[in-house]
Amino acid sequence: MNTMAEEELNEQKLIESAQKGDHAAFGQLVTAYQRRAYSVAYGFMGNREDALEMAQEAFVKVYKAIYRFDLLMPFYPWLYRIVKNTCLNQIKKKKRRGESSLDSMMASGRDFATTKRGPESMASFEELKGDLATSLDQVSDNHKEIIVLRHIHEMSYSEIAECLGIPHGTVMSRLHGARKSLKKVMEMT
Amino acid sequence: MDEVCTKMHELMSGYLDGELDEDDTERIKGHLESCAHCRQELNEMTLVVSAADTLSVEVPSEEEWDGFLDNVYNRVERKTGLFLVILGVFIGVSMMVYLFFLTDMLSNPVKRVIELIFVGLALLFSSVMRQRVHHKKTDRYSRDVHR
Repeated sequence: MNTMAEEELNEQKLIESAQKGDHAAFGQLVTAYQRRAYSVAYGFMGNREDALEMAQEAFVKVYKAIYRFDLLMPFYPWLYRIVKNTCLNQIKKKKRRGESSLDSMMASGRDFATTKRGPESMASFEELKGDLATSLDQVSDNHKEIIVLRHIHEMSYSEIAECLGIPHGTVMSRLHGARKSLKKVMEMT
Repeated sequence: MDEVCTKMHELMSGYLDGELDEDDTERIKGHLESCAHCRQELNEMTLVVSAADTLSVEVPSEEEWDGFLDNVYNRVERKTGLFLVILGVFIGVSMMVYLFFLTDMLSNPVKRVIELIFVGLALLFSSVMRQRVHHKKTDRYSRDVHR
């Protein structure tokens, strides 16, 4: 079994080949990271079709920009930022066209006459699970992002810090803020 | 809630995720033994964390995964093709402008046709711009919809 250092070296060689125009090397890179890119995109877009489209768009950008990639840096945080920016740009475009999460919520027939539910009703785990996906869509993009990185990608605080380019301590406080936001939204639904 | 509790709340996520160092872990454990409010907060945060751990991603089919790389290459080809078309149109239009205004190489009928094309393009462009300006001024939902 390869050690971490050997895997990193292999990946570096792959990227170097891709930078020199080796299509097979680029293909291997895509295959190695397509699922992670997809799940990042899914966290932002919320559905399979858009997530697949955005992940593929992100790799198109990787293809064009790979020659600029610094081989001394880790690849995944760079890819993550490209996927994230691709998704956020698409979300902005959709908002400008008037397609928003509000539209999709209305399409689902969601009742907006919510009643406030107090903390005493937070006792049920099953209730929380049911509300979660809807509630996650209502927190800010920053909070949603860090919840997805921690709970779907199961990244450690150090990995999240590297991906987002923020200090370790900020990860903890941002994640705590995100969980509090989520709790507040869930209490409202 | 006092300052100590506020600080403990900030450490709670790290405590639940096993990301605190030994000192902070001992601090928060010690505080929880004596603070019912923070114990309640921890219980609620534990529920949120447990629920969030059940989040999952809708997995594409194997066919979709198999076609992923091909789709990436298709997109690259389409963008390259579109770029070349736009470049070609730009060069073509520039040549037309050059031949029309700066040379006598074009016959009068050809010049009339080119004039028609330019006037048509100008009308289309101004119509689209007018519509966009009107839409921006009158669209009630043009601002970001807040969640």
